[in-house]
Amino acid sequence: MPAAPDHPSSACPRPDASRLLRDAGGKALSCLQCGMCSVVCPHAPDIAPWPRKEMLWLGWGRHDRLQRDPDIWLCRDCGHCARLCPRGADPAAVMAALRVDACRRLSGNLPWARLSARLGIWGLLLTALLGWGIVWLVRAVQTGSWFPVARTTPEANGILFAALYPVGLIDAIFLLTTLIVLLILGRGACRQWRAYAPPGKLLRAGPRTSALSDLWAVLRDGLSGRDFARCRMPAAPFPPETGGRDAAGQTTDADTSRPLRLGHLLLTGSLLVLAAVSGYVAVGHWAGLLGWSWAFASPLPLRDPVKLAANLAAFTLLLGLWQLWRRRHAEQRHRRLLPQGRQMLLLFFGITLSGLAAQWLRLAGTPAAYAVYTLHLALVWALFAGLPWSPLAHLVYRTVALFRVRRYGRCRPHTFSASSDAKDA
Amino acid sequence: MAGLTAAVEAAECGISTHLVEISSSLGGRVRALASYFPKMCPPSCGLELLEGRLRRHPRVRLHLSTRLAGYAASDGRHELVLQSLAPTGDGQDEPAAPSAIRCDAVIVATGWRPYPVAHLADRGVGHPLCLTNVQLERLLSPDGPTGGRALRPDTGVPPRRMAFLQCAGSRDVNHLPHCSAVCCSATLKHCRILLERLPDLHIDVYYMDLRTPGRLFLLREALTEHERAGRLRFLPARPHRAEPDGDGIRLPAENSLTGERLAYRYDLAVWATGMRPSLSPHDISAAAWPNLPENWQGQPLPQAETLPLPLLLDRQGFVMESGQAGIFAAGCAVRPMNVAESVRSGAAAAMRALAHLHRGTGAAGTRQAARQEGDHA
Repeated sequence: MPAAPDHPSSACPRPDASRLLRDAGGKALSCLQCGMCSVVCPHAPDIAPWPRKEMLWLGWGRHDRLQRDPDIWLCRDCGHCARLCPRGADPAAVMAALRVDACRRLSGNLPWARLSARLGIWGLLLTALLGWGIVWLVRAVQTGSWFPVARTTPEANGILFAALYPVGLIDAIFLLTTLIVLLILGRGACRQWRAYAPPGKLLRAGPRTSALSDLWAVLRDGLSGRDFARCRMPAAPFPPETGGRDAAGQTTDADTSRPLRLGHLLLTGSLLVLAAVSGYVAVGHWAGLLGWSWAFASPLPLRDPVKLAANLAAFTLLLGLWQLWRRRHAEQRHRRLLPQGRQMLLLFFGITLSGLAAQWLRLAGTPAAYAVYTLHLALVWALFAGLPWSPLAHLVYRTVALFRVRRYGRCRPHTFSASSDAKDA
Repeated sequence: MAGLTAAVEAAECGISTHLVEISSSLGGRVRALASYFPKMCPPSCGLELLEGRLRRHPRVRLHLSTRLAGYAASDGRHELVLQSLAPTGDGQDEPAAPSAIRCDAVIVATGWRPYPVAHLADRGVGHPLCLTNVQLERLLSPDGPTGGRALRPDTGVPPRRMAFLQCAGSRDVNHLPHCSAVCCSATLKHCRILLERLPDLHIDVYYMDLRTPGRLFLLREALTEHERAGRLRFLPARPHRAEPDGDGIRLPAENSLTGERLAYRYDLAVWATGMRPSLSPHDISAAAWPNLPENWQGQPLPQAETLPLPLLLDRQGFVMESGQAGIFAAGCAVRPMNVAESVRSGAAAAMRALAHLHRGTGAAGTRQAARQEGDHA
């Protein structure tokens, strides 16, 4: 696909505007502004719906308007607009590219991010592997063995990851990374909030609600993936084979949004469980450092309910990933998807499979467990370190955008319950 | 219309001409129209004149209800096998024996067909209150099924609110990528006829762009009076689909000037379905084209039962150029065009065929230009 030229009459030129257009599918400028995309979008509201206005702003080079636009985060990437666009301009790809661009802008274009953008998530992974290899080397020199054999716990079959990488070391690396990532995301969220705040007083459409209940509603809808239910594509209202008289032709309606909803729900739930397990294990370890009596050391025995929950979560994570992967392949038959999502899914697959494999090899007593565990650590670190520029950054930025629009009442999608007569308007 | 014109022009230039038409009457789709724009006269006035010229001419041989069954090229000439579809009259179902004619030039004027509504089923065009512009044209015609009155098909009363949806299937990468050239002008013509006939009627036209080049823009000018009276609105919007709403239908859309979503209710919606060439392989079944190659675009089509001529078609089925010297195309077989352009295209094709005949070296006297016209369904 040839690179689309930057629009000659860009109102707010950007040096990298052509890259944005290329990421957006390269055909965004062929948009005719017919407005079909805004009508088929199941989430767009009645006033100033997306994505037509974003297509217009991109075509005009109004990057200032795009930066102040929370609507790019309200798109759930169901792809109806891309499938039905009469010009093939692919508004869904435009919205996705705008989100990637917003991540880059909000999280800051650090050297780290530039490297990640150039090499993709794999570059980051390579760096991580290299780094963990050095740590392994240093530890091997210290302990005098590449595969240290632990004598402390009989049930670990002689393999103890903590003997190679002490918990303190892992904690230091990951807590430091997490802290930096959180700072970057926090700064991005503040930038985003300031960009959305219009000058003057904000008028609220509809009844006033408390900020806390708004935040709760945003988190509830986001974590449960409830909004995806609206992404389903309704079937033709009058199938031609019934002579066009069967208005209730809903039975043929295939729920295309199901893999997305299910995958998102499984992924979110599993990750929450795994995060809780990690927190539990960390607390147990720190309690040991403080000399408290209820402290425990990892690894937990396999029959421990927490360990069982973690393993179950790993399997549901795989199930969710499989749903998302399947959905991605089904979508790719109709439209172009950005490569970032695929990289993220592969990274998650790698993390889950390497984690399960490391556990299995450890229980089997194979020294190769150390190598797989190193790979697992490197993958997890790559996920953490690249988070502010990866699709996972939507955790923060979409939440901020959703919270913002909920604050001024732009949360209800259109309902055509009361249609007006053509004469009235 | 292009074929008729080409035949008349060629015959009047002294060439003996065969006119092959698959249907039983002349005039093709033009005969079914309500009126021509921009003059708003009924199609019969031009057609009768042309048909009179044609029927009076001794050099024209008419082959009605006849299809082209075979083709062969021999030393620069064309041999056409004609198969009559008319009943033989002796009560038997046996088809008449095919006859062969030899000619020096062939003009293909196979015309167009409306884009099938079934392809737009997911936009709700199957609803009984949705018409196509071709159907409306027929309804408005004085010899149409309702005697020229546009009525709601379900109740039989005149509609009070109507919508026109432009580019239904045209200029759409999922349907016809080309602009069908006539729908905007046709819609403006329909608006004018309807607003004049039905004083209670309000019309909304949903458009992407209104394309009325040249004098056709006067059609739009003539409607400003109705626009000012609030009976006609032009909405820059593209409704995704028609949905049932009470006793009417609702058209959700976004007005791209104001950025607000609309959902007005209408008694009748007219979809401006586009023009597709009759030769488009997309609607010809695989049985009729058994040897259609995988990438047939730009290739001479294999001799098939529907139109056995060596033609180069483009992606949409429009004739790009003849695969063989001496075969010319005219009218909507080449590109979408209105009646006036079709007439000019037919005359131009006749002119090019004449030039081809004069370039030839064969003995004069037996030269014939055969014409080929009609729907090859």
